[in-house]
Amino acid sequence: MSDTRAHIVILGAGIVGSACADVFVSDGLRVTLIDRSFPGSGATAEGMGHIVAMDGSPEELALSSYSRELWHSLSGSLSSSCEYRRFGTIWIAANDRHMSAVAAKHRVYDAIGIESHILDPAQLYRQEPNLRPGLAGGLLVPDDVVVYPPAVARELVDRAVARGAAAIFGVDVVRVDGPTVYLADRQEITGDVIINALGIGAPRISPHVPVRPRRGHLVITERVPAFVHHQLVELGYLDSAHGTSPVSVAFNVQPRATGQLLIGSSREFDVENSTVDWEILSRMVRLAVDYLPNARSLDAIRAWTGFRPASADGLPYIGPDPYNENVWLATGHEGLGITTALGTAHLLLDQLRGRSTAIPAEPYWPARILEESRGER
Amino acid sequence: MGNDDLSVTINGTGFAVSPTTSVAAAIQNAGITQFRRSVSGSSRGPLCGMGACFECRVMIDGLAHRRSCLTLCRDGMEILTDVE
Amino acid sequence: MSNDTRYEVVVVGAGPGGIAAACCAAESGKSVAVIDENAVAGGQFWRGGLSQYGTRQASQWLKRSQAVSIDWLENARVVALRSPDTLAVCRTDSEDVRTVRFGRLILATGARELFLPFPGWTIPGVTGVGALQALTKSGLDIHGKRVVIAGSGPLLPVVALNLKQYGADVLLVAEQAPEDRVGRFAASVGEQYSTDTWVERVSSNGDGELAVDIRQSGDSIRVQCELLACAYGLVPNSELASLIGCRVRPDATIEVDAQQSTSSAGVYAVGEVTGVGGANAAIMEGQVAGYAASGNTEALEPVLAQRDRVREITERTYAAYALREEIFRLAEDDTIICRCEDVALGSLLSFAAGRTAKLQTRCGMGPCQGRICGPITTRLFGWSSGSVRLPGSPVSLGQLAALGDR
Ligand SMILES: Cc1cc2nc3c(=O)[nH]c(=O)nc-3n(C[C@H](O)[C@H](O)[C@H](O)COP(=O)(O)OP(=O)(O)OC[C@H]3O[C@@H](n4cnc5c(N)ncnc54)[C@H](O)[C@@H]3O)c2cc1C
Ligand SMILES: Cc1cc2nc3c(=O)[nH]c(=O)nc-3n(C[C@H](O)[C@H](O)[C@H](O)COP(=O)(O)OP(=O)(O)OC[C@H]3O[C@@H](n4cnc5c(N)ncnc54)[C@H](O)[C@@H]3O)c2cc1C
Ligand code: FES
Repeated sequence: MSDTRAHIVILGAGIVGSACADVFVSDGLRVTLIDRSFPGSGATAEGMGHIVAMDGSPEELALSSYSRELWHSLSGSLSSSCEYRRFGTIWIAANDRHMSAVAAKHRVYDAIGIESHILDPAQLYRQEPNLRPGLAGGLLVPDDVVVYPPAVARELVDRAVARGAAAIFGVDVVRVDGPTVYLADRQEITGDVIINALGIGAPRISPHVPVRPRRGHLVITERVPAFVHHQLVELGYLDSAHGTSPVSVAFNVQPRATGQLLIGSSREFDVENSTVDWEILSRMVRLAVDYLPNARSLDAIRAWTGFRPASADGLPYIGPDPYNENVWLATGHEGLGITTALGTAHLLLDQLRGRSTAIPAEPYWPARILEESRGER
Repeated sequence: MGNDDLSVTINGTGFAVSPTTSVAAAIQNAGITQFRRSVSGSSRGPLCGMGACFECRVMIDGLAHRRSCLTLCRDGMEILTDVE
Repeated sequence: MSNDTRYEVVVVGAGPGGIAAACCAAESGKSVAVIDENAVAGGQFWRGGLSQYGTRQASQWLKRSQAVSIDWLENARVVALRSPDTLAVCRTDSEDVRTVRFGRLILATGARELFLPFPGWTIPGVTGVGALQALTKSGLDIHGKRVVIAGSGPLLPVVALNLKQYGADVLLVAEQAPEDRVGRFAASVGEQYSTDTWVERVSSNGDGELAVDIRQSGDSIRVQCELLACAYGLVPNSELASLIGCRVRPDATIEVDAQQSTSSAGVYAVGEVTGVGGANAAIMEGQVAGYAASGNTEALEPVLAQRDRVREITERTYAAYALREEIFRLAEDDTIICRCEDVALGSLLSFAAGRTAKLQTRCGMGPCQGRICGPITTRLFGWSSGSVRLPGSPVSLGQLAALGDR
C-alpha cells in the first residue's frame, strides 16, 4: 500500500482487530474499527490469556514465537490492569515417555533460540511444590507470559483512538460488498482495505471462510496466592489440542495476577450451546486436582464456556481473501489468538505496505484453504 | 444462652464458647473487628450475616476463605483472622 | 458418590415458606425432602430453629412438621441442577457431595438484604439490619453495646426491639421513609424511632468507635456508636432459579403463576424469592405450592384465597418504604461499590453496561459473584444483573470433581 493515508476498515475489536488497529495507526494508516459490542467482548473475554510459544507445527511455532517477542516489547507500555506477568510455562511430564517428549521439545525450542530448561523431578518440585508426587519431570519455558486479554484489547483500542482511529461500537456489520461495509444502522463505510477480524463471526461476512466454533470450559478459583508459580500444562496437551476426538480434556492451570487459579481446558467441536456441561467440567477439574491434590479444598467461584475460532487446518487465516479483492482475513486463530494477535497485526501491516515480513507470510494465507475449496465446487 | 462447653482458639488464644455460637460471633466476642483484609488492604468484617457477602472469611482449621457466619464453633477449632 | 435418593417433592430452603410447603406436601402423602445450607431449619425468620420461638405460629408449624415424615438435609447447599430432575448438593461442613432427584421442586431460597453504599459502609462494625440480628442469634454478645439501626423497612423496628431484648443500647432507629407513611410502626420502638432520617456517612476513630453522620429532617447530626446496622429492604436469592432456567424478572424476583408455578415445568417458587414480603406471605405461598405440587386440589382451594389476602396486606405495607432519591446519591467517587474486588464508584462511571464494567474493572467478579454489588449497580446505573453461572455458590474443586462422578 503505497498510499500512506489509506483507509483501513477493521471489522471486529477482539484481540486481533484491536492489535491491528493499534499497529496500523502507529504506522500512519487511517483506521475505522467496528464492533457490535465493545472491545474484547467476544472470545477475547472468554479465554486464558497464555502467551505461549507453541510447537504444534513449524508454522505455528514461527508465528507464536514471533508474537511472543512482540508481546515482550509491548509489555512496557501496558497498564497494570492488563495483568502482564512473565510467569513462564512448565510442560509437565507424568512418565518416561513424556520425558522423551520433553527432550524433543527442548531441542525444537533450542533450534529457534527459545530458552527452555529440562527439569528433573527434584527441580520440578522445587519450582512447584503443590504438584502430586511421582511425576517424571518437565520443561520450563521461562519467557512465556500471562495477560488479561479484555483489558489489553481495550487499551490497544484506546491508544489507537487517541492517535486518531475512528471507532464504531454497538453496531452489527451486516455485509460487505466490494469496498463498502454495510452496518445494521444503515451506515455505509468505504475503505481501501477491509480486514475481517470477526472471530467466529467471520463467516457471516465472508461465507466461504471455514471457521468453526470450538468450545472450551474454564473454572476460576478464589485467591490463593503462590499456589502455583507457572502456567502448568500436561504434555498430553498437544495431542488434545490438535486431535480429532469430539471432546478432549487436558490439565492446564494458570496463575492469575490476582492470585486466583484459572483451570482449563477442554475442546469440543460442533456445540453452539454456552451452558456449562457437568461431565466435561468435572473431568477437567478431576484432572486438575489429580495433578494438584492440595487444590481439592480450594473454592471454585465460577465456571464458563468460550468459543475458539477454529480454522480448517489449525493455522489462522492471515492475508488476502481470494474471493474479494477488498477484504483481507484475520481470523481462525483458535486457541492461540491472544498470543498470535500481535504477529497477525504486524504480518498484515508489512504486507499491506509491501514490505518484507519478519517471518514468511505465505503459510497463513487463506488461499491455502480457499483455493482448494474453490476448486471443489 | 447455652453452656460455654466448647473451647476454640482464635489467633492462638483459647476461648470458651457455646455450641450454638457461630465462628463470626465468637470472633467478635473476642474483641476482634477486622476479620480479613480486602484485596487492596482495607479492614473488613461481617456484613450480611447469612453467607452472601463473603466479608467474614477467615481461616478455620487450616482451610482458608471459610465463611465464619455460616460455620458453627466445634470443640478444638483453630480460627485465624486476617490471613490471605 | 453417595445416594441419588428420589423424593416426590424436594424443597430448597427451610425458612417459613419452605417449611410450610414441605408440611403440606408431606400431609398430602408425598415423600418429601427439605435442603438448607444452615445447620438448623428455620430460615431468616425462625433462625436457630422453630423450637426456639414461643410464638403460636412457630409452635403450630413445629407440631405439623413433627407429625409427618420429612427428610431434613441440613448443612447442604444446592449448587446446580446435575441433570433435569436431579440436584447437585454439597455439604457445607465437610467435603461430601450427593445428588437428590425430585418429582416436583419447590424453591424457597429467601432473600438477602439490600445494601446501598455510603462513605464508610465497608468499615468493620457496619452490618445489615437482619444481619446484626442473625449474628446476635448466633451468639454475638451485644449486651450494653451502643447500636444505630438504619435503612428502611418493617425489619428495622422488629430488629430494634429484638436487640433491646438482648441488652443492646439502641440509640437510634433511622427510617428513611416519611412519617405519614410509616408512622404507626414508631410506637412499638419508642422515641428512638425516627422517620425521614438516614445515614450519610460513617467513619471510624479507631478502637471500635464509629461516628455516624445522620440526616434528620434537614439537619445533620453525629452519633457515636459501636455497631451500625443499615439495610434498605431485601433482594431475592434467585440465582439458583436462574441456573435452573426459571424466568426471573429484572428486579430478580422469580415469575410465578397463581399456583406458585415457575416458567419451568414442575418447579415452584415461594416466599421472599417471589418478591412478596414477610413471613406470613411466605407461609401462605408455601402452603399453596405444597398442595399444588402434590396435586391436592381439595386442600389447595381454600389457601389460595387466604394467600391473596395476606399478599395484599403485605404489599400495602411494603409500598410505604419506597426509597428516596438521596439514598442513591450518597456514594462518592472513592466509595467502594464492589467489596470483593474493591471497585470504587468513580471507576464505574464511564461504563454504559454492566458486562463491560465487569470485564474491565472486575466489578462483580469476586467470590460473592455480584450478590452484593449487582443490586447496587442495578439501582445506581440501571445495569441488568449479570449472568449466573455454575456453581450457584462457591464449592470446592474436590466437590466439583466428585459431583461429576456417577
Ligand atoms: C477457553 C479458551 C481458552 C483460550 N486460551 C487461550 C490462551 O491461553 N492463549 C491464547 O493465545 N489464546 C487462547 N484462546 C483463544 C483466544 O481467546 C482467541 O483465539 C482470540 O480471542 C480470538 O480473537 P479474535 O479477535 O479473533 O475474536 P473475538 O475476540 O471473538 O473478536 C471478534 C469480535 O467481532 C465482533 N463481531 C462478531 N461478529 C460481528 C458482526 N457481525 N458485526 C460486528 N461485530 C462482530 C465480536 O463482538 C467480537 O468482539 C482461548 C480461547 C478459549 C475459548
Ligand atoms: C437477615 C434477615 C433477617 C430477617 N429477619 C426477619 C424478622 O425478624 N422478621 C420478619 O418478619 N422477617 C424477617 N426477615 C424477612 C424474612 O426473610 C422473610 O419474611 C421470611 O423469612 C421469608 O421466608 P422464606 O421461606 O421466603 O425465606 P428464608 O427464611 O430466607 O429461608 C430461605 C432459606 O433457604 C436457604 N437457601 C437459600 N439458597 C439455598 C441453596 N442454594 N441451598 C440450600 N439452602 C438454600 C437459606 O439459607 C435460608 O435458610 C429477615 C430477612 C433477612 C434477610
Ligand atoms: S457475613 Fe456475609 S458471608 Fe458471612
